[in-house]
Amino acid sequence: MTSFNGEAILETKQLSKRFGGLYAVKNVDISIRPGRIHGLIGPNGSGKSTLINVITGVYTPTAGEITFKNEILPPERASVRMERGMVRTFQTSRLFEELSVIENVMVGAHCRTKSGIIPILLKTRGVTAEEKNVRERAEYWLDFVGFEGDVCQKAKALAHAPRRIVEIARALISEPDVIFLDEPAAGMNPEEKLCLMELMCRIGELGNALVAIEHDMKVIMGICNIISVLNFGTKIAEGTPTEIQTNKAVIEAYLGEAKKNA
Amino acid sequence: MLKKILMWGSLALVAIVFPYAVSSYTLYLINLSGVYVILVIGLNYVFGFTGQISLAHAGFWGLGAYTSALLTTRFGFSFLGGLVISGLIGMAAGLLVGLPSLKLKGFYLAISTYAVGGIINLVLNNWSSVTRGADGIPGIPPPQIGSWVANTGMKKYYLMLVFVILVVVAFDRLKKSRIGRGLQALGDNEFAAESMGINTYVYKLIAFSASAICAAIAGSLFAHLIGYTSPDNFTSAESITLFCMLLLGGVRSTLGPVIGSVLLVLLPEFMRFLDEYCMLIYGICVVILAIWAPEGIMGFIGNRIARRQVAKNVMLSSQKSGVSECD
Ligand SMILES: Nc1ncnc2c1ncn2[C@@H]1O[C@H](COP(=O)(O)OP(=O)(O)OP(=O)(O)O)[C@@H](O)[C@H]1O
Ligand SMILES: [Mg+2]
Repeated sequence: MTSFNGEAILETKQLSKRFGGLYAVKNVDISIRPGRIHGLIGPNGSGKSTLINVITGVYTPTAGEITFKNEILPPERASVRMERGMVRTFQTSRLFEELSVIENVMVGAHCRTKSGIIPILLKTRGVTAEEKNVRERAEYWLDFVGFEGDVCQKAKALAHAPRRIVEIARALISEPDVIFLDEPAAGMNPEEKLCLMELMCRIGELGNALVAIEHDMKVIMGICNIISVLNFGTKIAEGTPTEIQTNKAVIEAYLGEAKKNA
Repeated sequence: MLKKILMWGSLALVAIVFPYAVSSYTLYLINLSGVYVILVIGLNYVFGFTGQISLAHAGFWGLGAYTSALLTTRFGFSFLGGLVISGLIGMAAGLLVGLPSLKLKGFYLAISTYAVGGIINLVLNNWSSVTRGADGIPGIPPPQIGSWVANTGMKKYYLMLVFVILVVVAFDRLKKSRIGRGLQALGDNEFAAESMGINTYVYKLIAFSASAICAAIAGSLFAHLIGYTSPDNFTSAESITLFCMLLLGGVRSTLGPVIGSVLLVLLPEFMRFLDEYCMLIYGICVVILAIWAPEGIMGFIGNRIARRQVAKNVMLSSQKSGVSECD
């Protein structure tokens, strides 16, 4: 992992994404620093997931630029972005259902391994060693995220909470500089949420940057160092949890909705 | 460990002694099913791993068969020379047909690959100056390596055995490697695979070309095994048969294609005495399998083993084991 002490490792400048006539993300400036847990909140449909999708290369931005490790990123495939050191989980869990739990995590190490087809067919010593190493690392990260259970069972057999943490292990194994979690706590019970918060804190201590989208304010306010708030695709506020809790624009964005609904 | 040696030893013994125990016609069928095993393993790369539907498979098979047939009968190539060039041409064709898969999915990909298979068949039928059209190409020499000529059913059997083992082992090694995991990840969730660092364009092309290489090699072996090729062997209906074999044996598994192919080549022969009821029974069997073992025979067995494994792991869960080897 590259060290960017205190400096931003990832920055967006006037980043926008338009779908037809709708700006899902509009002129967003955001700056992600290593060693911090960065919360990303906002009402439904405010563009949080889209922002992550644009940064990680799923969508090409309509306008604006992304700087990662002091380099302005060209438009490129999501797989290339992952290789550069940014990795994410998904709002709805997307495991590889027919692969086993450990294989799922091993896929995350794909871009950090390099065995080619011919050595694999010949089963050279290098290939065997690399395979063993990846398997051990996968076990390490499964342990790290607190996965308990049979690592050989197929992913489709897992319950909801274990699925979410296996996804996190699959992301961590690639030794990312920035990791995005899209609503990791959704659908978890309070106990599982506590475990997850503790896990997120430990990930923050690894030295990489952690960005978490979350609707659960207890989770967000409990662990984030800094929070950015989106509404209708634009960033309306940014600051520490206490600042955000008392910010008028944020209260308006959340409560304004409630008023309209009432 | 000892158990493994014993198991493989006895399997090898059966495989070696086997041809002495059966009639020459059965041996011919077994050799033919060897060709199908290689074909179906090829299909397993593209359909089993990545979930892409390719109905051009019989076309690639024909391409390999005709390439080998022409090279050996007209241009004096050796058996192995023809085989290698068939494989290369298969790879090129696979890459070409793989290109639309980068944009097309599911039904649309099925239709477009079906068309490719049809076009290849049309060319074989109508480009008479080269392929001799519907007459086919006769007089293809039996496989020959150095001075060793596989001119009897028995020798052909051993030759096929070697090729089948090579293809099966190659598949198994790829499956358990980072590349095999990448292919399977792509099949399970394309979006997540791309986000996890797998270039899905490259991997789809890998799947298509690996699949076509297998088909072309199977074609080359087929031509030399039978000694005659005709366009009728390589119709799109054959592509569907290959899917049946794969689904019956078990998608994605290594041994599934072996079981599926051998069963579907041999069963109709053994049920011949039933005349027209044969297809009826065949149909009923397929329905029963689809209901009770939708993941094919190997999937069915695998689930059984997994269930037992879970029970065992629950019992042992107190003592945590070291490196996990899942098989
Ligand atoms: N692929 C797409 N095509 C068209 N519109 C889209 C697409 N993806 C998102 N949108 C729209 O962009 C807006 C922002 O969506 P996004 O999913 O980013 O919101 P979100 O903040 O993640 O919301 P949630 O909290 O519900 O997950 C929404 O209005 C959504 O309908
Ligand atoms: Mg979202």
